[in-house]
Amino acid sequence: MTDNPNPDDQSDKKVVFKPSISDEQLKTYYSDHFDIKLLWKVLDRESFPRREFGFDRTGHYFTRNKSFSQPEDLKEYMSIYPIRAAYAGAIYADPVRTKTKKYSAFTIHDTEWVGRELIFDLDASDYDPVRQCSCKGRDVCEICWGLMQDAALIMDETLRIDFGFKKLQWVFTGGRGYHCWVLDKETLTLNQEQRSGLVNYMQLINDPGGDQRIEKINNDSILLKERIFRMLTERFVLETKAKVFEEIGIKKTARATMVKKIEQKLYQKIIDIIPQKIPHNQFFDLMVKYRYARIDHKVTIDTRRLIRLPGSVHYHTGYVGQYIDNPESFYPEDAKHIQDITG
Amino acid sequence: MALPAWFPFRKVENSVVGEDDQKKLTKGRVMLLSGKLPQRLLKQEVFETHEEFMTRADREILGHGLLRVAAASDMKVASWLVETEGDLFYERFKASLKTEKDAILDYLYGDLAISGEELSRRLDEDVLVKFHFVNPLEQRRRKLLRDSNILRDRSGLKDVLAIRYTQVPDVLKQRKFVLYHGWILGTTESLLSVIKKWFEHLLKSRISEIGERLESTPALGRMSSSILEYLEDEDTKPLIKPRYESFGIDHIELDGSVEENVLILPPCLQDLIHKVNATGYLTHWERFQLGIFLKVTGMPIEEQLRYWYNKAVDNIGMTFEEFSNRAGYIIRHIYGMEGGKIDYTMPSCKTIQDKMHCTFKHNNVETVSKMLADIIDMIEKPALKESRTVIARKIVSNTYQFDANKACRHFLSFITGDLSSSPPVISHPLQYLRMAKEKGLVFELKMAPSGEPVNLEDPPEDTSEPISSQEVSDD
Ligand SMILES: [Zn+2]
Repeated sequence: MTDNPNPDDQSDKKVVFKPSISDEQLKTYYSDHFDIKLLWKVLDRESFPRREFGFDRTGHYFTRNKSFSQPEDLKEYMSIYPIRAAYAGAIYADPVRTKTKKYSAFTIHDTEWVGRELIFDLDASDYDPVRQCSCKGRDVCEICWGLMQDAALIMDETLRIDFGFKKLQWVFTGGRGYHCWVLDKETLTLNQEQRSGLVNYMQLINDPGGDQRIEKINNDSILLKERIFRMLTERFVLETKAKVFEEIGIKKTARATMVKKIEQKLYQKIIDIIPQKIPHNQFFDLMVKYRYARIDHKVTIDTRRLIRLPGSVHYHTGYVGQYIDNPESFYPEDAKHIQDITG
Repeated sequence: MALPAWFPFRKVENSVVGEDDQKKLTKGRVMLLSGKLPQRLLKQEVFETHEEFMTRADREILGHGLLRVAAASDMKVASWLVETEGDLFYERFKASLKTEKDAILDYLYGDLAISGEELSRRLDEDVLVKFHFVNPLEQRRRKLLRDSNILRDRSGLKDVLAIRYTQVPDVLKQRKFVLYHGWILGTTESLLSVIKKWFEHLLKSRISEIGERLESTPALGRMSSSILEYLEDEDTKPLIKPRYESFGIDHIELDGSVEENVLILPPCLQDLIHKVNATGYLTHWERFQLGIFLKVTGMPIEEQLRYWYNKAVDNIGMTFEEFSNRAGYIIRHIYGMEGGKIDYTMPSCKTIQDKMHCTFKHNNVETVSKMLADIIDMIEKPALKESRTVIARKIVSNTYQFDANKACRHFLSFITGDLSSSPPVISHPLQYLRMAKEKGLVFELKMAPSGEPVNLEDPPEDTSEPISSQEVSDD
């Protein structure tokens, strides 16, 4: 991995996906290699029997309202049916079940909602309008994966410093992004409005698929503003195409000077990198648009939503969703792949 | 820490009030709230003795309590009361001493609001200096003086308050205050309207609590009625006007029963009808909402009493007559046969979102998705199914954004077919109903809504996913 991939060079290396996975491989993975104990990194043991699970079985149909009295039962279920995708939902007052020959259904609507971890979702495809490589949709390469790394870096600090959360677990989804599980006890019972407040504090890009309007940040959010300058500026200058800077009147030569300043460490304050006649807020907004975290707010706000189960296989890529400690330096190739595990 | 005498949530020692006095107390409070009295601030200095002062304060609070009881059975009075009490609270809180403010904050927030200094202690870091509420030199000078016991009071020092982020989701969104370790930080002065909003929120829930007890406690209902009658007097009636309430159209006759028309009803009322059918229970304000709606769409009182008698679950062993006499209080009230004898018109979306039930404001997003998926599931024609799915996604997205009026506007096109490129904003249930009635349903259903969950175990192999991309993260 080179330190600074050049965005103007179009020969970016794509992560190669190997999608042909057989049902047998899936079953083998879940029976022999799926470490159920790792789930305790994100799920609470005591409430496990009252946790909703959902599955995409064989790609034909989707089932939710499942719960399991113990983790071994979950593992067994996943070893019997070919599971193309597995999801964890919220915790309820009672175990839920789907309809069977013997019993009628008892769904999440028949019982009381008890709690749900606070979860954030980052996905490379949300960056399609601004990706500097040739990736679109499901693709990722080392250039655009850098966006995921930066987003995780900045969110991690915001959650710890601004919100004071202590227990964060980052997870590679196996696809094209990260989930961040916030596991501090108090987050479990936050309501939708509170979650919406939280995610909107961090969300700076309105309508990310459309006109991408950048929200004003005033001086009361000094921590966030300072953080964005500190964490994003260098990589933004180095990994964004020259023509993007022309949007705010930074010509090729001026951009070259910025690059030189960074490479040779010719600055004291990060703000000195910006050419003198360019207003800081214009530069800031451009940087936010091209490099700041794009959080899928729906995942955070909806307290009953199903979220991909860490440790499960992402069917479209073959990668195993993985707990990670350093999202800022992780790359998808570092993850385990079902082909390597099950042969 | 003692609460100031004027604080309306304070407990009053002797709260037994004779009927004559009730009227006086109620009207006194109305005058105070409407700015008709010269003394808004209630200062001890203007009274001869402390006792006189306390008597006056107690009487003010009793008046407040009586108005709360009246508000519990009349949402117009409730809206007015919450607004004007909020304003009075704002003025009086602002003019209070530091110790009184502390006591009030402690009452309102408990551990969820602390001083900036307390936060500094907890974090072992001077947050006041860090975020420039004081400059470091000044802070050091004060510390020296305080340590040497020269400076005991804190006058001149800015009061900085820290409120837990969970209490202020709106403020978080706007990023108007410093957020640090889960606390928003600001001077008490700058946080005044945030505190006022929380006060209003607590007052609202207290009024609702009384509302829940109205029907089971006939004496309380009678009291509520008689206070509402006082308010109908010439001197007070013109004063009770909620600032934001707007009444538009007041009557639309349905063709056929509510049940036959259920899909063209505003979604909030569809929800309430489903809920009362499924559980036999609605909260106090929800009963008001549905009750008024049934009235303004042409249901006579006798029929409505019967409607509730048939649906309710808490009337076991009660004859219809007993039910009408006791629990029928709210319904008779709605028809202007109790209390203020007001002939109620349908409340606007603003009031509904504030106090009652709005589909897109009060339901979980997942519940909204499921409701839409259920309807789509029953649509016959594939092309319509597809176009409805597109609109359903818009509705869900508006619900996520807490943009209920827009979601409702899209729901109207979901039900009646695509409206012109700029459909109107929905701000009143009867506005919705008029348009829905004009247009009619755009689709035919395969069967009547069954209320069964769609996604059961072992469905046929070709079962499609129920808008699954909305329900699970597509990562
Ligand atoms: Zn790429």
